[in-house]
Amino acid sequence: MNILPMKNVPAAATNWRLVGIQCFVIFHIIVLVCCGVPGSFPLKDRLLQVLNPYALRVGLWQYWNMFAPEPFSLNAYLEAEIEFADGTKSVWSFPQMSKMGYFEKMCSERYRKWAVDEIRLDEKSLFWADTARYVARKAQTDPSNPPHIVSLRRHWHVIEDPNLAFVPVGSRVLASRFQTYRFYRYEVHAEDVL
Amino acid sequence: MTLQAIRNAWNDFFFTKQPVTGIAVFRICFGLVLILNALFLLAGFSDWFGSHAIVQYSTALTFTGTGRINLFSILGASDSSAYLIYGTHLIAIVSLTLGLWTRSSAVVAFITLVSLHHRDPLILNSGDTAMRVVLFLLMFSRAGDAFSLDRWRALKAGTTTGPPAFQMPWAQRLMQIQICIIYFSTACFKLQGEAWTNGTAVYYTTRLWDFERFPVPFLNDSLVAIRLMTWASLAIECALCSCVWVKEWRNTVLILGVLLHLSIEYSMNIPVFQWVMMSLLVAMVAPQDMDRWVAGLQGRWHALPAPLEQPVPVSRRRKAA
Repeated sequence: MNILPMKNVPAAATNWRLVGIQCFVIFHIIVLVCCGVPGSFPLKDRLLQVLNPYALRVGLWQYWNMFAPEPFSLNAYLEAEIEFADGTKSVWSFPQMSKMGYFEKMCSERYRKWAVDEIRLDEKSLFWADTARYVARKAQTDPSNPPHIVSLRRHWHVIEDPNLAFVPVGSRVLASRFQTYRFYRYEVHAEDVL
Repeated sequence: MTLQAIRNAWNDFFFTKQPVTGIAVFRICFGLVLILNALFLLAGFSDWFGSHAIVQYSTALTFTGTGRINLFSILGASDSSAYLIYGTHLIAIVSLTLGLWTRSSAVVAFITLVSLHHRDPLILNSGDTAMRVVLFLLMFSRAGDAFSLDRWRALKAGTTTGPPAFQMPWAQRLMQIQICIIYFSTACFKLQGEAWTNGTAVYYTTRLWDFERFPVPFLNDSLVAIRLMTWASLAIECALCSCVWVKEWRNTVLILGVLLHLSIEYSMNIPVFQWVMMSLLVAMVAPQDMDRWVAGLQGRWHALPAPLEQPVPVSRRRKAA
């Protein structure tokens, strides 16, 4: 392999070092392309089987489907209904960006990501119990009347095709037009709110 | 085209020594974005990383699997270890930005960032992914060879003199490839979507209440303007992974990319992401261009003469030899 010699380093060491760098470069181009480029084709899939363990362990996993293939076409938020030991109920709202000011919204974006982009989805059911426990801890104000049941509800409103119904920017939809679905019910244990 | 020509092109691209000003300026811009990101992480810190975090450590492990780089697996998922990892990360990124023990700082910054990412994978967005992958590649670059405390100390100690030496840009080239993968990938995804091809995607994104920031009157209420904005953003993303490699178009494409990200930053609440991407575009600037601009600025401010040697392609050096 023809490679550039370096100053002040013995030639053999230089060559071996540069061979190492070349291998590193080639290997990582393959890793980055296989992990980053979308689509499924036989060569990529076979390479990923080999490379994925490395990419996952090191932290080179990646996906770039921002607002794609289709942008979100619904406004959504989550709520939790808490039933206390004495039978009373209250509603705990997950942080909603649309109700926040400019700076608060910037700082709280990860709450939106967590609730609306992740917990709302059935694919993330693994995290529902943790979420319910978190809500129970937040709702616990009176130790003699702890939360007993936490139910998670999602509310959503679909943004219609602008060719059918063009909505001016900034318009709000009445809460009554939102659809609601209770997707999880959790019975709180004493140790959950400690 | 011959095999020799391919080999020469490969060696010229990755191993022809280039000025280090570009990667040094990138290090500073990227470091500032990392600091901004770290400060934003403070909001809700205990909810994401504390011992009573929303996502329990055992659940995160079930989701990510074991064996990943994760300091929490060594230190435990307590409040103190979360603050220790975060504090170390903050010190490392400040140090990286200043160019103090640059490579070690980059390594520590990367390990702590990955650990935080693996602690709670639910709160990560594409900006986090870009920061993590590029920080990995930055560890291998010569980003501390200019505009750094490392260089200032070396000059003071007399271990180096004159302008920074040219270095092989292979790590920066890997970053550039990664940046192109980002734009290529997102453009491919979008081209599969009906809303992007029929020009209504911006309509939907501007009607998402959670993302609203500053108003854009008239434009966002005109379907014609919305279509033009949708297709323009798609075209710029395509250009950022293709036309950016054409020397004559590169700077124009990069300016368009910055304008795209600034317009999204103005109109949509997606904190840090746009700044991450704009800082990455700094790494796409040709090293000679960056060197010339910086030398021009230095000359204007300090009346210093512009450097220096010109890069000589590996293939030409070999012929001369």
